[in-house]
Amino acid sequence: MLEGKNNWKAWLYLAPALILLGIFSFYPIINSFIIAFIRDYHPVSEVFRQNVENNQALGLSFFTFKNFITVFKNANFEYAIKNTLLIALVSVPISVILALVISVLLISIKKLRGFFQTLFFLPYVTSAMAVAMAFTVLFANNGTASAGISQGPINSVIDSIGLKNGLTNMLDWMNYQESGKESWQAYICVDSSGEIDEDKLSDKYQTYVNLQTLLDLPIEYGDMYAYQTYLADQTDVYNSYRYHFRELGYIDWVGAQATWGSAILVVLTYSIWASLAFKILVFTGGLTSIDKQYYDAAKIDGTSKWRTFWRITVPMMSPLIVYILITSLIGAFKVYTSIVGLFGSGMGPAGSAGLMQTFVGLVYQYLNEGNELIHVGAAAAVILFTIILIITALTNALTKKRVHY
Amino acid sequence: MEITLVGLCKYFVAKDKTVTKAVDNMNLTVPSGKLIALLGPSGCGKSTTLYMIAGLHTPTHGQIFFGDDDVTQVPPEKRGIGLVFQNYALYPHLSVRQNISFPLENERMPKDEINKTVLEMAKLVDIEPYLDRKPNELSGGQQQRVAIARALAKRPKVLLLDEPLSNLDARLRLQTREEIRRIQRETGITTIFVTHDQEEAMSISDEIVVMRQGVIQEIDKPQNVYDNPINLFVAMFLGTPQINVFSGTLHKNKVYIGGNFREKEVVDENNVKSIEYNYEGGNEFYLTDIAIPEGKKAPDKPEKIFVAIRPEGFNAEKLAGNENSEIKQSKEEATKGIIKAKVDLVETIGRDTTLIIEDPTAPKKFFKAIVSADKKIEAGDIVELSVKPHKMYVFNKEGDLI
Repeated sequence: MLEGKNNWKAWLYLAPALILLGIFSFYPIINSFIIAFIRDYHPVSEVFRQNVENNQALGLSFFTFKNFITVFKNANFEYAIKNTLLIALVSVPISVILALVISVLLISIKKLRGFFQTLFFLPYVTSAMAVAMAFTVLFANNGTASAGISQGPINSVIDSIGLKNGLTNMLDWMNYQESGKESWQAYICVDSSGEIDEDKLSDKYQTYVNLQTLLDLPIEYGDMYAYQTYLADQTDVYNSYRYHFRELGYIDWVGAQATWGSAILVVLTYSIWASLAFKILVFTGGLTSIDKQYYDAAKIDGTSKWRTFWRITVPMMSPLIVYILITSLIGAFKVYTSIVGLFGSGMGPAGSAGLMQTFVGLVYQYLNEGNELIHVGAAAAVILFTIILIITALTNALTKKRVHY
Repeated sequence: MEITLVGLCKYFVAKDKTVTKAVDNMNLTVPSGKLIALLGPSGCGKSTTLYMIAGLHTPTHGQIFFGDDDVTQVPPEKRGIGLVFQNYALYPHLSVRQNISFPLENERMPKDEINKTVLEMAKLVDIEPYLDRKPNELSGGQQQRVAIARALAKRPKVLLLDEPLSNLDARLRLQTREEIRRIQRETGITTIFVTHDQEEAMSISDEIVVMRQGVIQEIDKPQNVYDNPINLFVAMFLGTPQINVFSGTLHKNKVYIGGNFREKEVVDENNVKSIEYNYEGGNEFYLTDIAIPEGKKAPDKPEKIFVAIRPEGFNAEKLAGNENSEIKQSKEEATKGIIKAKVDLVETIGRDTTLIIEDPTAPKKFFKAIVSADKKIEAGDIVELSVKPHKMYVFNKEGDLI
């Protein structure tokens, strides 16, 4: 029936959707690919057209890779790549595994199941901004320990279970890995006014020695005072490292003294928690559709819970798991709102803007800088597209053998 | 391994506190090495019983013994049973080989021993060529055999089959049930087998347990259950086509189908009043000389009863005449239990013929008679039917055999 002369009817019915998709999806996608390769594109003043006309004699001289180079040279490009990849490749697998475990547990309880299901689903219907604001309160740091000001719930909990020093050490280690800044500086003690507290220095020295040993770095015996004097002379250097000079105190997760390590931990926690809701929803749906007889059969055969999970539940859920994995990866690569929610449009803790920059953040940054840089934004979007394409293809290839449709 | 069920009960309590007695006070002994069928309509508790024996359901009351051991509280994996599910429950992502070795891997059996057992099982159920296929690449019958192989792989002492043939088409069903019988004979394993198909149950089991609403109705060899149904339910459940049921009256050792009794007060010479019952019959047939079991008093009053006659319980003779001839039945003929009737429809299956005849005592109600195809009876013929006494059963209003 659809073939032959009646074909126009089909097109007629499809027209509204096709027109809208064409205007708002297909055209912008194709256009941004074109713009990304155009020199000095200007959509309003039509500089582009003038350029084309002026360069007619030169053929394709308006074609350029310059936009991509501009993106690569962005001061925060490295952070954008690092943060985006980390959020996608760490938070997604963790949240998929967590969601699967929670779903299996949810399915196995009878009482309060509805209550917990609602609880886990709440993040899905809550505004990302609201969640981010709640997180900034949770992770608040209201000053140094000696100041005696009440801390955010996370810091209070960390303190009460005695993890404060351990976590601070870990964050400093992460920071060292990330920036190469010498970690031991964190253990030179300053009071709240920024003066070096010489009384506390001696026992901190031991911490320094321990840390250097742990990191397999040379210990500069007796050099503490010399180094400190050196820093004091070099005011600029001192200031640039300023925020690392602090007491072994509460961790400033998202505030002005936050390091890359602490900030990324908060972002990862946020990403994992916020994305759990949808995954749990899909997984519990998938789990309930598995025939109970498979579990009865496994039970009769004396299959352990662990083996039942790995040999029956996971393979049976594998199409769903891969579906969730790929859509979540794509979603995670587009991370932006959560960073804005946690840190504001500066894309980083106050004083270190851009520390939490992401790829989509980069695209927005170019778009926000007015019409002059739209083509650079487009180039950044094309790079992001390419990365997502590669990662998705890789995921598909890696999981193909393990998926049982 | 002998299985004994003692006072087994399973009650389900719904949200509104109504109690459903899925299985009620069930007592049963399954002799070692036998194949027993639990037979009954859906919802009669046969699968629930099976799952209780398997350990997947916990009984509300009662005990289950395997041999002398009380296994009521023993978890399923420690009971040494193999269970075959209605839809096989083969793991779709595992090959046939992996499916069969799955229970063995749980027992941490050495690899080469697993391979040996898998091959042996595959040979037993005749699926060797398909070991490396996935279940969805096999036919229903092959899947069923894989499921049996998986159940037998860990050498259980008891094999439980839950409606094992209901997902197969007719031809495969015949084939597979013979296969199940063969495997059971070869392994000598005590087997309990749940089905709602009486033909299936009759054809392969040593004994049949007929269940209804959670209660056992009759336990006996298939032929005995068929020949001596204990009540109307059992009589109606076994046999295809279904047994013909007529409502009738029992009076003074005589069975009447159709007709009425009229009460009449009589006064004898001593002025003693008594009631007499007089039969008013028309074209109805009645059958005489039904023996009342000893100890049971023949009722003085006519008692409403059900008369059940197996379709093969009729002798049929074709009479001269055609569709338009009128049927004349004399009172003597009716007295002897001879019915003259017109054949409405004929179903032929080759070996014999099913006659569908309108019940002369109840218009628009039809009964079936199976006669030899040699009689060449066709629709519209007038036949004379007489009843074979041993194919006729009389039940009281409650459906119990008189």
